[in-house]
Amino acid sequence: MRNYFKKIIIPLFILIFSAASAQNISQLDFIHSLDSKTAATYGDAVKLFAAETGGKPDNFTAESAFLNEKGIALNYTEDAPLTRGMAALMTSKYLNLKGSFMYRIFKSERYAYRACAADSLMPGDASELDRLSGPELLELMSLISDKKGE
Amino acid sequence: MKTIKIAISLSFLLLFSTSLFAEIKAVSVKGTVAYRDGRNWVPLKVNQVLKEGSRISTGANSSAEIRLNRLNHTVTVKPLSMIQVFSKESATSTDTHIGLKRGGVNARVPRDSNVKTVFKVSTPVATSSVRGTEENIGYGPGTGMTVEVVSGEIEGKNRLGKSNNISGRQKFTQEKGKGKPGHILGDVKDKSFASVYGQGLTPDELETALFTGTDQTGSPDGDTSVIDNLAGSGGGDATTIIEITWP
Repeated sequence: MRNYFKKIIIPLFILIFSAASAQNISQLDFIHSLDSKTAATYGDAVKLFAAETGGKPDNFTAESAFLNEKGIALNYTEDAPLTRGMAALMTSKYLNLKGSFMYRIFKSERYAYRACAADSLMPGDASELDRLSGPELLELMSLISDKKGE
Repeated sequence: MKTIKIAISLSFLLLFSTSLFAEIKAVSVKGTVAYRDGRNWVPLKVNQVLKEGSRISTGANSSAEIRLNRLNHTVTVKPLSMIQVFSKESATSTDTHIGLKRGGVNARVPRDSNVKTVFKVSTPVATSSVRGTEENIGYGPGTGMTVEVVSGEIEGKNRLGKSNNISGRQKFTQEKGKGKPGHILGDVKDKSFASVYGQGLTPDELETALFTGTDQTGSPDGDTSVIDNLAGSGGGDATTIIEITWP
């Protein structure tokens, strides 16, 4: 019995613990690499929104499916460059923003950006067509997190 | 004699060492939080003591509360943030510097009149100095540095030395690449329920003035004349009751 405990249970615990730690650190590794990216992708936004909404999936397909269930996912490929409008539409859907009358009618990226600007989540003097950098995407996610915690 | 010398030397060494290092300790950890140990990021645990200059990084939906010295100066690191912590203390002073690379922190600095306190949070664009207060500080490439005072008073100073002292609902903002900080009441103005233009005119009054070509507020029944009458011909203080009718 003691042998069984030593040979199976203890290594199993170590394996589970180290896998959990590795998973945690891998999320931070992703964030640190995103922090130095000059152009974020739709896949980056999907990964962060999935983590923000409490999802545990670890690949784009599973994360997209998870966000689709929540009504946040958009119809883009993983490597599509992320624009301010795309990020704004995901944000507006997630936070259920109502700051723009036109967004409530059209639910488009253009008016989602206006709704985000009205809520001080994005600068008012930008365009929905601007491409977002990694640090800008992280900043947006921080503001979303703050807003969600209000 | 030799024993006394050793005892004195040890006492000095002990005194010197306590004046240099404050205990930086993780009080609570939620979600994915790690600190940098050499070249590696290591998960942060509750009650873990960190070295001077430690870097702490938080993931999505994650946060950590760090106690910085014996006076219970604490900082809560918000999600998706990265900070570096420096903290020193002696019997009569504390000296804490936090470098905020991105994200946000909530800093709580209880006042102790017997201890000289230096508590600074620096970002790439500005620095805030705190004494006996609580504040929320954020930094990102788009919004720059923002400091909201929860209680007490702080000084925000940008890299060019331009500073603002703020308290209450005021907000210190410093955008990247701008020479001076934003208006301290800019946030309140953005959230106000009524717009006021030059000379205290509301949008309706301004529209009327543009239509008629005259300023109606200066007429005998206008707003300013009411206040003039209350104050009397010699001027002075006046009390007026304002009824706000919601549309």
